Amino acid sequence: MSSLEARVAQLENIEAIRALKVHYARLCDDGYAADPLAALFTQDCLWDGGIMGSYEGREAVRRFFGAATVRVRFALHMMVSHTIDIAPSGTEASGYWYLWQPMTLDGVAHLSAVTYDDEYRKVDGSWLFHRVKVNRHFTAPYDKGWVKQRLPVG
Amino acid sequence: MAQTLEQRVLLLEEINAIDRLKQEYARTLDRYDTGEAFAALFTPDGVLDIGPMGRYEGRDAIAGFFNGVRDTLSFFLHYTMAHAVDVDLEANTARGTWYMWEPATRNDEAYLVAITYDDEFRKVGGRWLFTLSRSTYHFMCPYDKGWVEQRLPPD
Amino acid sequence: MAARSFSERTVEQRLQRLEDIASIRYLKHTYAILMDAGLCHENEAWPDAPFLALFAPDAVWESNVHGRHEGVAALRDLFTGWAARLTFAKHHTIAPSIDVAPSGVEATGHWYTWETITSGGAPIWLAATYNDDFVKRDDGWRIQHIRSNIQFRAPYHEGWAAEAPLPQMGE
Repeated sequence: MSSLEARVAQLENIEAIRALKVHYARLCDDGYAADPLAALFTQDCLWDGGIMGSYEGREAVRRFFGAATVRVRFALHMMVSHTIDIAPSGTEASGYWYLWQPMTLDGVAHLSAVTYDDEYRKVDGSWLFHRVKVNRHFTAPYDKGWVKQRLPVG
Repeated sequence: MAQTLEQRVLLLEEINAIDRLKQEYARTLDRYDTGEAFAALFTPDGVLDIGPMGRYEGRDAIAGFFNGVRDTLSFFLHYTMAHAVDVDLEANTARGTWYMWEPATRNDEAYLVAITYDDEFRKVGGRWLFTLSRSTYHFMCPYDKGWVEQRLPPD
Repeated sequence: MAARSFSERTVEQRLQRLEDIASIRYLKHTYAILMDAGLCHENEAWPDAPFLALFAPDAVWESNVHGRHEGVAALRDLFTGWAARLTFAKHHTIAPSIDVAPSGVEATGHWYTWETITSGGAPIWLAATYNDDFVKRDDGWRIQHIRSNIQFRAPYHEGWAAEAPLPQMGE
């Protein structure tokens, strides 16, 4: 592969990982469609949700998303800022993202602020999530704000 | 102006690199790194213009401002987005604008901040650095009040 | 150039697609910047050029709340009407998903926006998703169709729990 082609491939990889994260967000907002969400993860993935629990492997991740809409009936996963680093192999990458999420929890308006530490793998030409670590800064009831109540009670 | 393939690839890489530098500005703030780490994102003669919070020239002044920020702001997240970046490949300079949205805790009270950045850059020794970061504050309001009732802090 | 499947593209065709994505991103961000300058009453000429010049002459702007507006004259009336009620607006334009058609002269883009607005002297927030169409003309990419699905438009002190999500337009 020529040097110019390698640089174009690198730019394409960055766009593809951006597209993966936003696709994930849109599936979450479309009622947490569990099957297509799980398909965005590697077989031996790890989802580390902090207080939301840790889930290893696609099946565990699928069950986790399948249950999400019980309490979260509305959410907009706004993936706002990101940095992406692609390893020299071209098949491994890491990313850091900021999420701003207006939502409801049990029908009550909440605001969520999260940052993600992601690892990605390119499998059969498609980028997938391999490790996702959720850093929750707050999920605050709308009428209180994050100083009065940083996390939900239940 | 006819551009070679190599210049066209370079332009896209430089836009990514400059947005990346702006994201590093945000992340350096949000992890409460050192003033020196933040100031190192600027050229030695760089300028940080933070509207109502003052104007700082040179790395020492910029580092000093950064180290003082946590006196009043114990928490923030700088959501930095919607970049529009223009690069002069010949001169190795660039300009960029971003929207920034920030939940913050100021003197133990929740605040919301909305800013537009108008920044300027120079590539030095193969690395992009800020020559100027200028913030225009649209509001910095208490969360309980909103931006109409109190657009900016009185102090 | 002839349309080809993705894997058969030359390096230059692949580069062209990346440039088109960057151009469309820049166009949408410029739309937000100029829109907000107009709604903040910073530009007396708004919505005329440069803002309306971002649109194709037969462009459409529609939303689930504002209805459908076609052509530059209708867009001018729509945006002028907004400026009569609004004194402040920031459209935080977030998370692009841009697809360039194999033809290279049409594209679609999806965004989220988070908006802080002052309407009739009162603070309001608004969240929307956009499904937009773009067209490439001799003088560059232009906005062909903006489709905004407003998820909520809530007075600041009330929040969105009661109405979110509003009824959406089909895609």
